[in-house]
Amino acid sequence: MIRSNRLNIVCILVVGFLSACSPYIYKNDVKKFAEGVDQATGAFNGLHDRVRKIYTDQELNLLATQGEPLRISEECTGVTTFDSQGNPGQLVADTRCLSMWSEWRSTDKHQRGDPPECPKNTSIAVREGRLAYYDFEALGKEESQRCELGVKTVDKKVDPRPLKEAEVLLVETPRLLQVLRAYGYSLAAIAGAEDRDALQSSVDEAKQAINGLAARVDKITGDDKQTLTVSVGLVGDLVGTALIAGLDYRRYKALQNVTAAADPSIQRAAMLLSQVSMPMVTIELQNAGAVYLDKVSVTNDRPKNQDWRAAYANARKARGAYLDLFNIGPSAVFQSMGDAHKELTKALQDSKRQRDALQESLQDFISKANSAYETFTQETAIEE
Amino acid sequence: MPQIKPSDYMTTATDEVGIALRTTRTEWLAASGQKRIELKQAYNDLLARLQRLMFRDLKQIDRDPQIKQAIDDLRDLTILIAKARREMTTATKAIKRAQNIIGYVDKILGIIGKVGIV
Repeated sequence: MIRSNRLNIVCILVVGFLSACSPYIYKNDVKKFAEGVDQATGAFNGLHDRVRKIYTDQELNLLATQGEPLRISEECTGVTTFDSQGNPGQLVADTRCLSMWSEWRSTDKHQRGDPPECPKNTSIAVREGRLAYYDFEALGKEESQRCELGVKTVDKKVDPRPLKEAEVLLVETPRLLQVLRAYGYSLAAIAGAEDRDALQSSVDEAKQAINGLAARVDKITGDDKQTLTVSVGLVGDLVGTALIAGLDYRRYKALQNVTAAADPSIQRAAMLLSQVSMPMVTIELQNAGAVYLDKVSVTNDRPKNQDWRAAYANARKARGAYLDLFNIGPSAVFQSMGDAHKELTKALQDSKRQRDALQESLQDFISKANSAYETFTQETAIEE
Repeated sequence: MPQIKPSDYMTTATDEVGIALRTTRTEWLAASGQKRIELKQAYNDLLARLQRLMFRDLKQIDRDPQIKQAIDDLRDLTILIAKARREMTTATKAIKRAQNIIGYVDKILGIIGKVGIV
């Protein structure tokens, strides 16, 4: 009995120590951070889409002005008809070959002769007379390469680059956003309760099994006082709680270590994203600014009464649209994201620290990310 | 003689467009009637030219090795987090295994009880 009491005391102390560090008090904070990253990513992508449309429009306009004819390789559509050497394309050749095999198989065994000689470009399975599913997808991928749209080069080849270039603006930065989102989700998964619930349920089931086992042993040994069942039940409760607290502690440590290790990278990524956003916001500002100039210059034509009032209202609106963009661009959102992550890292490093600063910075991040998301996921910002 | 870089041409071209843009803006803001409309069009054309130069710069900024480095760093971190999460789920698995063993012991004890060994 004395040994059992000692064990209980040790367990209580261990549990007390471990449960002081629970990641679950940060569960909502981490979730908010991940949601903010999601919104910020959406805002950036929205801005990127809008600016890319302007870019593509300008590039295609330039190509249209030059009036260069579009070109494709002579091999394009050869697979469905005949190739440039005059051989049947694969689909025509395979159809021919399937028919030849069918004819060969329909002929009496003694009169068949050699297997059919299929045309050039026949695919292997069909040539060998084997049954197989037709892989149109792979063929489509090859054809998409052959049928690339382009313009004529000096040496009369097809150059798809000017057209491809016109369609794509940013390549690397969207990838940075993807890994940033993945980071946010992973962090939320550590702080989340799913694994904990699974562990709790396993512990409950294990406790039941141990109690059942102890009761059986008590019965077999004829112990009417059920000494083992009582002791095991007590220790089982404490061990279960200790296991949960142990998991909490490990999660907390993981969150602490990960955020501390990630913070310099997050700060760098936030600054890079802020920098890449800047020229895109500038393009939007230039267009909004041009609209404002136009609305003001209309009054040079000396409109009277109601027309003047309408022009004034339009000019004010255009001014607002122009100036608002300075405050809701993703640049500020990413700065706010960096600050929120820093506060989260600090709070996790020192659990005695007040969480007010963390709450405040998360709120600031979420609110800026939401505004930017709402603005930049709209089709256009500027009303002409 | 210092070597001329592509960015030097870009800077010169941007400056040229900028000067024309500024002059056009001044005239546009003071003009009226048809002239105002023409100057507006001229301003928008010049703005499109400036933006084309800015798009070239933006594409160059996107190719900055610092961005690739940041992608690699964050990807490494996410892999580390995934590893940490896997280690945590093993705690649940260990308990399940212990539970199974208890189940077997329970069965053995049942048989022992029945045959009256203990």
